[in-house]
Amino acid sequence: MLVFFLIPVLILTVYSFWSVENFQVQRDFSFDNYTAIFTKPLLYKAFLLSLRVAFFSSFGAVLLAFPFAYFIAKKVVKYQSLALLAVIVPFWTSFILRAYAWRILLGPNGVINQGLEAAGLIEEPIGALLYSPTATGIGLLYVYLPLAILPIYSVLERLPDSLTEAAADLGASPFQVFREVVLPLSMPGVLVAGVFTFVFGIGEYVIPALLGGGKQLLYAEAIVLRINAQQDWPAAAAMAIVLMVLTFGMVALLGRRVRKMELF
Amino acid sequence: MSQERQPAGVSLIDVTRRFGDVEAVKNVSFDIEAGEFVSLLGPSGCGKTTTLRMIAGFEYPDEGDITLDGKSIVATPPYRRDTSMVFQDYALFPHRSVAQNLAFGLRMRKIPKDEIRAKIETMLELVELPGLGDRKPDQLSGGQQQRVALGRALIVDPAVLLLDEPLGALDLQLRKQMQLELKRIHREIGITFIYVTHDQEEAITMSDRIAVMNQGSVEQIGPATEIYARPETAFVAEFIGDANVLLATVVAVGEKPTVTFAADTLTMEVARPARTFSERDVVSAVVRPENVSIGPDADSFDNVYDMEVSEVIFAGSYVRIHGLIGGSPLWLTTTVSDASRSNQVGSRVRVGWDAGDVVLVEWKS
Repeated sequence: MLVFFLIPVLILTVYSFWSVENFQVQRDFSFDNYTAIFTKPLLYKAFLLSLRVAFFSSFGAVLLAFPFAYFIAKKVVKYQSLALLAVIVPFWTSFILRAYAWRILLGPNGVINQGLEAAGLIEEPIGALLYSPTATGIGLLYVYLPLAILPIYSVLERLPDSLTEAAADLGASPFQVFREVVLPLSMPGVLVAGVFTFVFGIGEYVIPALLGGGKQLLYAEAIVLRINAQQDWPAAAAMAIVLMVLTFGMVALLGRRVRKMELF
Repeated sequence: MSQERQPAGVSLIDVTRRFGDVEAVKNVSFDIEAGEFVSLLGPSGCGKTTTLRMIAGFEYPDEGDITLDGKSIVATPPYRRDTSMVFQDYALFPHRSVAQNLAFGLRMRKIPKDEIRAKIETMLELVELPGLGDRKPDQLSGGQQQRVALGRALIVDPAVLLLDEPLGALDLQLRKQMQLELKRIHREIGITFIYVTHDQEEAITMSDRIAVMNQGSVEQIGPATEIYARPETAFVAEFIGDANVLLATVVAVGEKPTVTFAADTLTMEVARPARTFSERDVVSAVVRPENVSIGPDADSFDNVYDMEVSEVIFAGSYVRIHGLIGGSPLWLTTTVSDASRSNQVGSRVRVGWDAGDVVLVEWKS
């Protein structure tokens, strides 16, 4: 922990206060790298875009994950382990491989376009399928869905059936049972799912690059750009630290919030 | 505005419920009168909880019909049924206070806020929890949670209250106290109570009538005294109270029905059985231990035998004596003073009982 995490982070922190001139690292001390993140349009736009992508992908993933999780926890009790396995199996394959798989599905000569063509629904392949915000969205949802299903599943699975039955018994319609009992009591899982996917989403790099075509600069891409193209390690370090503080902060807040909600 | 509900009768007509290949409830029929306190009593897995859950609407019958107040309710979802359930685990909403738990059913019925507040106060009084409305369920003791669950079910003025082993999680002392309290509440509000339990004493203490269930069927339904005195099956005889169940063969029917039993083929006179048997029928002869007399007094009874005492057990207010008559085991209970007079292990004593104290039921191995 100390060697592999704390020390690199310390080095990173020190780096972030240095600067670069003529591709040479200058060992001085300034906050310029930090102020740049929030003043340079290129950087803060990338930051805001990443926030937006993270927000929508995590919101979407949680929204989609809830019914999945509910179904696994309460409806297919007999095949529960099989259903859970199906959720986890994608983790066994490389993340990059799965992103490429989507390129094959969405590309101009991809399965979806060819299928639609064969069915006579379209004449030209839909070029916008790949390298579009839609493609990024699909890819992100696909990657985050299992991450969101698992925590929601785990709270729903622990939710005693007698609670929903009691609510129904007292006159609550299925919708009211959901609003009054299921949703409030599954909030810890929903929050964990939301924050996890958000934290992954804000540092997202591979999916937008492979499926979105990198048309708009995301924060993580901007960091890579700093290192690769500009050789500006200190600036990259500062950006990485901002991202890290943000995600750690959210996880810490989440931890406190969920502990307060531990209900059963 | 809500008006006081009239209690309603509940009828089950040939109700069957299967889980896969297992018939959890088989062809069950009974009628419960409006305002009655009926217990469904039986060992675990006998179908009593499934029966209750079908009345509540959480399970549906595969066959048969269930009526409330004469109208079929099998197609009515639980949230529109005029029944309320007290769950075994209480099922209190952990994210809501006691008052909010009580208010839940009223809110679902769109009752005005001030009326809800008044009803909560009244209910907290009835279940003897005044001033605890702001607590969360996990800040209450088991007994208090039980009262909240009861109050939450009663506050909506149901026609029928369904109770699924509600006292199972409480210790003995508290259970006895709550039994009396449930009886008081039943008397005060007068609605129909259907109570599921595996505890015969609980059923006997509280119910107007008991339905004894075994393997998905109702074996007998009636007042506790009747079930105790005239069990219709060997299972009922052994489940309610204690019993000697003796394998016997009918040798004479008519005026003086007689059976033989035990290895030595002892004969025993019986009163006329509830159902008719023919000669040579194999039956169970049920004799309650407390109906067996011991010592010189035993000679005045219809059936008198010699017993070899094999065990004398002091059980507080009474003594249990085990022995063999004609090679067949028998046990009886007697007072401490009677026991001390005669019986040491190994001694031979006279035992006897009246023909009227023997109940013949079909043999079940």
